[in-house]
Amino acid sequence: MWDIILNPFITVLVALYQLLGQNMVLAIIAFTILIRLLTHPLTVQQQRSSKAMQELQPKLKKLQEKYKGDREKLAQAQMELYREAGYNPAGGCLPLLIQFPILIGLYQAIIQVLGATPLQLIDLSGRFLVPGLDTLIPLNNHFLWLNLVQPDPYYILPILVLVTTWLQQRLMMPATPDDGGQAAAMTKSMTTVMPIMFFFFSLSFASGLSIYFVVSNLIGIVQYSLMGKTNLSNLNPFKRTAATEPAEPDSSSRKAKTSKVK
Amino acid sequence: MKTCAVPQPSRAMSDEGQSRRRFGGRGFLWLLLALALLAAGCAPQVAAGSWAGLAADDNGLIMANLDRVTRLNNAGTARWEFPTAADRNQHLQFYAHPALTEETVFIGGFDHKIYALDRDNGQTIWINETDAKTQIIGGLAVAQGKVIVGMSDQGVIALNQRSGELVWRFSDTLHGVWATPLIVEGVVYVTSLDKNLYALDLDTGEELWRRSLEGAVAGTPAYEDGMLFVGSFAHRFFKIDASTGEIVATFDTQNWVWGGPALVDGVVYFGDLSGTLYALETGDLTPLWQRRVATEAIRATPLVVDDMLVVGSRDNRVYAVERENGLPVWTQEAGADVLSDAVLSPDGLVVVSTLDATRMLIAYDPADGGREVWRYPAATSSE
Repeated sequence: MWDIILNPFITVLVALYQLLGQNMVLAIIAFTILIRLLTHPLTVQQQRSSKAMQELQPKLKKLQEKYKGDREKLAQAQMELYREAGYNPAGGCLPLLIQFPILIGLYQAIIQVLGATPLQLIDLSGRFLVPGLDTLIPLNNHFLWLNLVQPDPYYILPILVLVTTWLQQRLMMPATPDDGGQAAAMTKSMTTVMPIMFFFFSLSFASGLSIYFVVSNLIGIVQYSLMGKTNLSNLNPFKRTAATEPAEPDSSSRKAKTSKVK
Repeated sequence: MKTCAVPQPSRAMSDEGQSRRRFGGRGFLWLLLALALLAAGCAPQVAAGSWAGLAADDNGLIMANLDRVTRLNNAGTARWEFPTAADRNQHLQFYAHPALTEETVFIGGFDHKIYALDRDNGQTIWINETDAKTQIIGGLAVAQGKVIVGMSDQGVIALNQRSGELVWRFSDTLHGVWATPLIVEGVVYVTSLDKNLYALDLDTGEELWRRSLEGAVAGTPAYEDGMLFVGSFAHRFFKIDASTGEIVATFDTQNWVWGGPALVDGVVYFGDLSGTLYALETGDLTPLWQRRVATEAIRATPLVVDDMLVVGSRDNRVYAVERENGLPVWTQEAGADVLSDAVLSPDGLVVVSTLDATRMLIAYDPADGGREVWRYPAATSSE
């Protein structure tokens, strides 16, 4: 079942490797860009849903105050609000759910083609959908100081993973006011936890995967910048994070700005 | 690394409840981080990524598999294990084939170390911890006081058999050496995943010649009358002049040839990853027969037992076919992938290893339709 995703991915990745002068790092970069381009419509849909949810927040808050203590009625009122606004609560998660196996497939494809152990290599032999590509195996896994199947001995890539993950998290953090809510706290924790988590993963993972993490983060930043979703003010170290600062008085002006663009 | 827009939970709760929920959200993330740290720090650096290496001698078998080297007697009972249970750790894995001399077992570890063990009791004679610098996947070869070791990412080293000290290093392969080197008359023949076959001087490590075999080579060549026989991932089998490296004859196969060939009576036998067995004349590689005996990959070198060839496959079976024509003699279910080379025990049993740790070794009687004689670890009564 999983092979339906994995085998085409492996075939494309190895074909890119051949087209790009048998350079595995270039192949990983090109492949990651390709996949992110293919999943771009899903990302846009997810962002739209996220924005719609943000816009509904004030109304939701009012409902929560109105139906304090009556969860059942609150739930009914929330559903009514969603219906009126034409908002689908699953609309935000569905694109992510579709993207998830694709991203896992991409990750798995990179692990498989690097073929660090005999079993990985033998497993690779039957996965090519284009005859002749299998004769390229094993791929050249040396790049600069890196052996792509081993962790980076100089810790440069783990640090790059840490920095780019943090950057992506910070830039994508919405400038929502801190109303003491769980979502705000969660967002704040994510910007700390995720970069550290991926840093530690990169210490023990193959450096080829760390390259994928870095490229994926950078593409994510570019992608969200082009969609106008990045928030550069979050990079200001002297500014309190959006999640902790007081409610912005100009949230309505931001809204106005958005509609002006439209 | 993305957030998902989901309806926010009701905030109609007390301050105490809010702070508890908030802590719950952060707590969950910190728990996630703790698990990541645990995974990064404690997870094995290597997964079980290969198959067992087996060797037979007069006293039974020596198996290198997973995290240990095990000496078994002819009845399949373990006599010693290295390392002992107390010394085992998750970083130590054995992918390599053990090499035996009269007193010593030589084995390379996935932990970048090379071990010389006492063949009688498994005690350490020496450990070279510094010269490999990488994992060892291929088996070791021993001749004229030297232990030849292929590196999984690049190159070959020679160690002093007695002391384990480095004698020479050859670093010019462009990729790893995953096959056991072959030593014939003072020459080391090394195949590499960089698609080349190398001939090196045993005394100095100096390169005598190299020959491209069009695809990666993971098998040990076989030698007969000044000729080398080996297959590659280019779906091709080669006959090569051992003194010059010139390709004398080739034969196209269905898939990658991973295992080395077996040579008997002027015929070379080998399998490929399509599950096909081949019998070619050693003269000009004319096919005598080729037969798809297995539904999945044949990785191992076929074992010659009298008039039969015995070989395992990734389709969980062990096949015995007639050497004459490749027709099946018997087939046995092994219950898991059989990728390692089978060996013949001193009492004439065919012993194979599977990827299932509950049936690491199975001994079949080749003369009795492949009847299972013993299994290691021993089968429970319910099996």
